[in-house]
Amino acid sequence: MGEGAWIRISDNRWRRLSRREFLRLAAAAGAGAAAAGLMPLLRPPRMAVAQARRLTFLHWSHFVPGFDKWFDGEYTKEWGKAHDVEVTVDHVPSAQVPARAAAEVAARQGHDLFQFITPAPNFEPALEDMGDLVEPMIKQHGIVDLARKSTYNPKTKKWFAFSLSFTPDPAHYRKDAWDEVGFVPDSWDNLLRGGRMLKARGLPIGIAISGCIDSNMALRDCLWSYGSSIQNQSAEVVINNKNTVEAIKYIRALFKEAMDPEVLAWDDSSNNRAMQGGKISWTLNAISIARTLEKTDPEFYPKVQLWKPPRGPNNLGGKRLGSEHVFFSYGIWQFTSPEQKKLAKQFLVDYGNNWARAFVGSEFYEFPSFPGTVSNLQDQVLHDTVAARLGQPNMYRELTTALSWSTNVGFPGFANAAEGEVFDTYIIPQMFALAATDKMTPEEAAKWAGEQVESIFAKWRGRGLV
Amino acid sequence: MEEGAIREPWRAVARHRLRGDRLLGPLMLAPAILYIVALVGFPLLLAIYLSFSNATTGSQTLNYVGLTNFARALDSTIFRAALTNTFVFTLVSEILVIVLGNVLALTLQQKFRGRPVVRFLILMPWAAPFALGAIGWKWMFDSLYSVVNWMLRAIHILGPHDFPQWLGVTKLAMAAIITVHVWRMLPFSAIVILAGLSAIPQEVLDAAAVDGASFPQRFWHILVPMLLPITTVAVLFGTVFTFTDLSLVYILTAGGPFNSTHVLSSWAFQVGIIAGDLAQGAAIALFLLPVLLVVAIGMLRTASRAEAGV
Amino acid sequence: MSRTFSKAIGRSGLYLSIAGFTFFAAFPFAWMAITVFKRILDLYNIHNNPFLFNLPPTMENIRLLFGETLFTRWLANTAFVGAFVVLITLLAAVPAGYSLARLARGWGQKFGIGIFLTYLVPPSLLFIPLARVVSALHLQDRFWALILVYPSFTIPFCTWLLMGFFKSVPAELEEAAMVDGCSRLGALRRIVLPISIAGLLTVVIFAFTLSIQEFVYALTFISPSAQKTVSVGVPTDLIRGDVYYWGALMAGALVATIPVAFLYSLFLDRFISGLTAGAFR
Repeated sequence: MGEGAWIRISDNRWRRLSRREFLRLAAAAGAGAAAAGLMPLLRPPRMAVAQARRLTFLHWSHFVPGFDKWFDGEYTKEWGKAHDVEVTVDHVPSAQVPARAAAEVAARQGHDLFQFITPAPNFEPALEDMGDLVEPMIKQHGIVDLARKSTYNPKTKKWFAFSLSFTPDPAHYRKDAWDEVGFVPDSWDNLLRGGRMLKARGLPIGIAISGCIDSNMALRDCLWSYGSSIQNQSAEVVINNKNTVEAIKYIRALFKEAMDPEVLAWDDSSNNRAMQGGKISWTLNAISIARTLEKTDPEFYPKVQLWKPPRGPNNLGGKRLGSEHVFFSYGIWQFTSPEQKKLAKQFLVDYGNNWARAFVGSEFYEFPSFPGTVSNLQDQVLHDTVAARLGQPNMYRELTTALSWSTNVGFPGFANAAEGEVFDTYIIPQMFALAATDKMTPEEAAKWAGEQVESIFAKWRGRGLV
Repeated sequence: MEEGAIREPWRAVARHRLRGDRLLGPLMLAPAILYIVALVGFPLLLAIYLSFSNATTGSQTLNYVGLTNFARALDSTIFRAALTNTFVFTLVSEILVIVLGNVLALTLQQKFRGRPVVRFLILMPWAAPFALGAIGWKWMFDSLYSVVNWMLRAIHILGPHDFPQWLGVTKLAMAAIITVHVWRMLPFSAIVILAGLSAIPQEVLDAAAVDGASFPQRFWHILVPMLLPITTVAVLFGTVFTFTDLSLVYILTAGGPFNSTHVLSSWAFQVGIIAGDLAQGAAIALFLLPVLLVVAIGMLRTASRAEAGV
Repeated sequence: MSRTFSKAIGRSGLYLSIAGFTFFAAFPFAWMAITVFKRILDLYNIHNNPFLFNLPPTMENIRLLFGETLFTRWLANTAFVGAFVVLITLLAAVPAGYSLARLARGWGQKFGIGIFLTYLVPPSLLFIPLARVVSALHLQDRFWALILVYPSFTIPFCTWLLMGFFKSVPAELEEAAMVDGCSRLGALRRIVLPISIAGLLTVVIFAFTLSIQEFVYALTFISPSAQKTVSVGVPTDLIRGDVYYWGALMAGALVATIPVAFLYSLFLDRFISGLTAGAFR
């Protein structure tokens, strides 16, 4: 082995090369650190205010961006000033609320007030009982049934969350087109009859049959108004029945005759875009479609109108039910310190009594869970300033009926943890999709769903939550 | 040996070092081992423990329930679809990544005008924060405004009324997932292979060329065997990354249409975290661990044997 | 190599391959760039040619991204986290890789495999137990949590990768240096590391990329806006339930990608030339 030669080679060549490389590397790392503005980053956040009282919120990014500005920058600042509390509101993407909640529970450390986006019964064991807040609110303002059924567990007799609001899920439809074909999309039957004609004109119906919230809600509406449901009032699984089969048959017909296959690919934003782009004649959605059009396309805006969710067939009871679109509720973790719990509850009481302001701040996107908190709701909705300015003062009129047809996931029972898992794993959209795409007959699809749901319910019963 | 040591002094030094090395070896290994034990080993044990319990995301009290979670997972049709998908997804995308990665590496090794620009563009997918890149693809596959479909129409691959729903039909959605995954993984595989390629001594290739070997001959008899170890690295990394990746399916299709494109990790996340059945999710996520272990050990052995052979 | 290979496949084949790969890699970014400057009515008009500006271009999306979100802060956080993760990864993986390649004889191989295998652990649930660790160290809601956690998935692969690179360095090189009076660590620093520069750069690129791309931990451990990374910050503010701010989202993706890709392509040049200049086998 000529070891000397090796050393010379490496000395002469490699060592020089290496320094250059490492300088480059160091320069890059340095540039990264410099870009990051080293100093402010090294300072731990929020340490300066150790003495003052603090209250922290976890909110998901509100669908109405203006609401976050109002809540973070205005309301909580005012409240904080009045009570000598420094308030911080952190945000996560709306789809990631459960993951964040799971992490906070696992860490046994988190925000003082945690805002959920769907009912949170599976977190019940980790959540504080809110009964002492809810009961007085009910006495003073009343409560809508869907809020009670989404925050109370009759089995454990516990109010595991405190809800101030929910979002109704009305229909958006192309009034111009529906008038031309001479139908009002007031019932599922009409939807199919008018939809056939409208599809021929290039304006199909748009109900997502896919793994998203819109689909979960719309298809439940259909199931319920056909006189079926996933569970009954006493949390027994009843979905595999002949009314479900009828509903599946209906959606299959609607899919084949009045919709485009694209609905199988939709997410929550797709029907908004399709309506804005003038591609569909009817969809169920929170008012974000109308509100977006106000900002982006005032000319097209008047053609899109709101209507109630469709009625079911008369021989099956002709029910009209619309699931809430978003359910707002606050939870307080049990591991939160007693002082913070007290402060958080104090905020909730004050906020609840001032909730009328949030109603305006959310641009009517949120509706009250305690109806008495907004005394002149009808009046306000009928005089929406933006709609009036665009010459459509009646735009949101149908919302005034929302309290009568809105209901909760889990209807006619409670929104329990098992219903939550059925919701989150999209069993209902899958059931409809399997039949609509002829992978199963309607009977098989209903049976399949029955098995899946039964297994999920059994699991959560075993945990004592259902 | 003794005499040899005297004739070759560095051996003696090496033996002298050996005693120090006995200490130095573990010492140098310690930081990595500690890190892994604390931040992977311990959480993994907890995850395994969870999979035998009835834990939920909202509950701290655990009861042992044996293999119930695994049995229940196997019962579910969605789980079985996810299991199949995981294999199909990994296998197809890995084959594509390796074949294309080799071609790309061979291409990038050539000299051509504008090479720096091309290399910059080709590295972009790997440099992009993937969550945002995937949102970009979601937009490209949009059900109404898919620019992919628009282009396919423009070059008359699609008729004027065809509009395939990339994320709405199981097979197309799987194709979309695989496409995006290959897009993301290709640059890194090509880099790794490029490194291997560069390490092949020019003399070997020149000698073969002088001997009159044709390109295919040189490709199969020199390039392929010499690239094997480094390609195994790329395959191993890619396989594991693909097997355990969650964000792609989660962002692109959310498992749709009708839960038919889930892979195990996305289904585990959906059930365990979003729906709150932590124990069930853990069972789903850990289901393939034994299989992965066997595959990985086999491949690692092959890789080290190939290395020793070169 | 260059001469013989290109003769075989031909120049046209080469250019076809270049064109194909470049299109595949870069088209999504081109489409993002177009989306950034489009007005929403232009974007949502199905009859338009999507590559043309049928309405005048707008800067609104850029303004939204830089003016209404903490985008620059997220970029800085991401770079900072990435740089730190790379540093920690190198500090742990270089000695470990070397130890496995050189110092550990029989058990080196087994340990190497063992370390690599930890990479197989599916991360979809690991954040639950890790959340506990993060909170015990009082790192919750600070990006230091990510700096702590990310090396857990970069170290295993990087150690294993470096072990391979170190093994390919002829042992005689170091031994000769040690005869000349170098300590083992000195030989590592002066001989082995410089020769393994390609491996080190691979590790740097790999660790940095993985830390940029990570999503689940960043999402669950960090909630204050000022502490977020790009991957999480951008969707938080620009996906509002059923409304996607496409233009601003795409702008965020592009702006975050370009400098990193540029940096990589600089390194890649050195990386390849460093290797081809002198094959080390």
